[in-house]
Amino acid sequence: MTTRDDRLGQKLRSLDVPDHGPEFFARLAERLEQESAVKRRPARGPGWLRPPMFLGFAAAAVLLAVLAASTVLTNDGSSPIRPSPSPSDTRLISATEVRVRVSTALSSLRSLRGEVTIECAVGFGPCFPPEAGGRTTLRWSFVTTAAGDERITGIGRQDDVAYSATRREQRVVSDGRPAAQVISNLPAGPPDMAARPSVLRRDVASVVRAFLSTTDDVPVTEVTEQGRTAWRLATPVTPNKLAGPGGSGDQLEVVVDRETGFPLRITETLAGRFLNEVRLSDLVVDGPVDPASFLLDLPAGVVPFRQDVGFRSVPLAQVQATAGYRPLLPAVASLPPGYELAEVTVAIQAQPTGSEGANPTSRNVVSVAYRRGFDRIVVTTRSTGSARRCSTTLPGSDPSACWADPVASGEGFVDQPQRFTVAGGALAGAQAELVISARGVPHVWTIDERLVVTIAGDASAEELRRLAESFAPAG
Amino acid sequence: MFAAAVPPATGEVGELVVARARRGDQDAFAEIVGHYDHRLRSLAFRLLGDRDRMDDVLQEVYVKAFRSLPRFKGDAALGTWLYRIAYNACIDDLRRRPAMTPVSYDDERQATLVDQRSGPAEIAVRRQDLATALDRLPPDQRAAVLLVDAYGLDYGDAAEVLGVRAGTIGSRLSRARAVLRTALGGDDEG
Repeated sequence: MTTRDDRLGQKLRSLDVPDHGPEFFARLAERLEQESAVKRRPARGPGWLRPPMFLGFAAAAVLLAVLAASTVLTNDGSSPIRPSPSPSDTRLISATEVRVRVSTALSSLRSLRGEVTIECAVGFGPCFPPEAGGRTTLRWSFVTTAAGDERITGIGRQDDVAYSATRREQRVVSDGRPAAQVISNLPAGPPDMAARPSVLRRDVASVVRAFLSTTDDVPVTEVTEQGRTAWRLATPVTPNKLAGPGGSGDQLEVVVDRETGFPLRITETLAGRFLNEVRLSDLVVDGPVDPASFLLDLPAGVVPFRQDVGFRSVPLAQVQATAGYRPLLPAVASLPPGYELAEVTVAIQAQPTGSEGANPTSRNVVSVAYRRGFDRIVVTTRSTGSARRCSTTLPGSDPSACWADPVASGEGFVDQPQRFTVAGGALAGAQAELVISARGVPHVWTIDERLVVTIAGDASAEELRRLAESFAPAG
Repeated sequence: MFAAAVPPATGEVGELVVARARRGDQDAFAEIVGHYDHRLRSLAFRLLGDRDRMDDVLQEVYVKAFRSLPRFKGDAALGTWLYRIAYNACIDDLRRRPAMTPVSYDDERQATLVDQRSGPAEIAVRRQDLATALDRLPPDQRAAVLLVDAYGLDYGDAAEVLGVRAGTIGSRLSRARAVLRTALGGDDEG
């Protein structure tokens, strides 16, 4: 029971409190405008394609990942996935068959071009603010490569996002304020701020990786959509609790293209009512790609909002000299087949990670990316500093003084990690958490006295755990 | 957008305002800042002991809150969440720059105040005594007594802000109150 000293409290409240300095609110307004500028593109433009992911792909991935979890983690043999009603032109195939085919498709795919359409019946996520008249439809053309390059251009409006994997720089031009942004020195992926997620790459792969995580046979319907052979499944999802009543669905239908492994369509419904849909169409597989497509020219006279995220490319042999410690990496033999080292970057200081960005400031961050076609795994290490792991028994444990999951989902979802003790390698004995959840990338994280370690990307639960148990000093 | 001088407020802001702010509405966020700013200023100033540091830290607190609000899960009151961000930011700042002399603001004010006539001067001296005693407490005790006695949080919410168990709040309060009551001496006039 709370006891309060009201007399003391009244005297404490009467103590003088200085006002802010004269420039405080003007400076704050300016900084919030900058924050809004960063948010604005992801909130509506193609770079945003994450929100539909939030409503669609990621949730699908989660559900599918839940399937994976139910089979891989708990082995209870149950599956939340059920096939859609089968039209006459369909047949049921096994998830194992899908997994093998998708793996082959994604690892061999070099580039993809086409059109993406988002259609929404509610003004949430991708469709916020809602357009007058109810249903909102947004279209973009896109081209993307296995190296991570991406260009998405609005159709019928000025809305252009280009990410150059070579430069590790994202440029955005829009008709909003500010009219242009340049975000440079981006790392390859989470938990640190990376290029704006896109349905065309990682989030799409979320669905696929869920297939890849599936070890048991799961019925999937083979269908023809847009003249392409595809797989379709329907799956229940838990509505996001931040979306508000009616804003988030309880059912997804996902159609995955057999040739490319990319989802052709994701439809989200709530009690059978249409909420939103993401569609890829007019696909061109492995066609010619002009590298200049990913170098977006800024309009003359426009001063862009610039942000340097701080990750510099460093040869592996020089990481120790830059980061201050010898890098820890998983054994090459433990990588899933086909993955190769693609990128090593180091940031002396980076933005805080974790749910609500509540972890301590990241220091001496080493981010290493492995690629396999469009698939990617990112391994990061960062100095633990004086903070330790947050208590798992204390809700509200002082977050800036302790480390919580850097890759945590947040935003309406609460992760349910599987905890395990790392059985081998340089991290042996450390308590780790394996997370396959609705919002985020499948990942493992752990912490010891020196380093916070994350492994996140397109890998199954079993593969992630194997990677965690194979770490050794490198470079 | 922002009001420069906002009187102390109590309670929580409305859900609609929070929902708008969560979607990036800066005017709605300005309402939130206006609502909590006095209490957050008080907490930050009492922990840091310096107005410039208070302003620096609260800039970061508000930007961080604005950035994180879309991910605010709503499993705690908004005020508790903001206190937690502010407290963490202050502690982080104290770790980086620990050697500030406490009571700078009230020391400055005191030189003026003690020259005034007896009533106000006496009150000012007592406030100075209380402020001095408060600023000499360890930051965790300082925060506990401010959160519970001055701002009315219950032990559970204060524990969430400070990242400790509710029982720990009780023991910190006990120690803090003993010191502060001594500083107040026989002042019973309320």
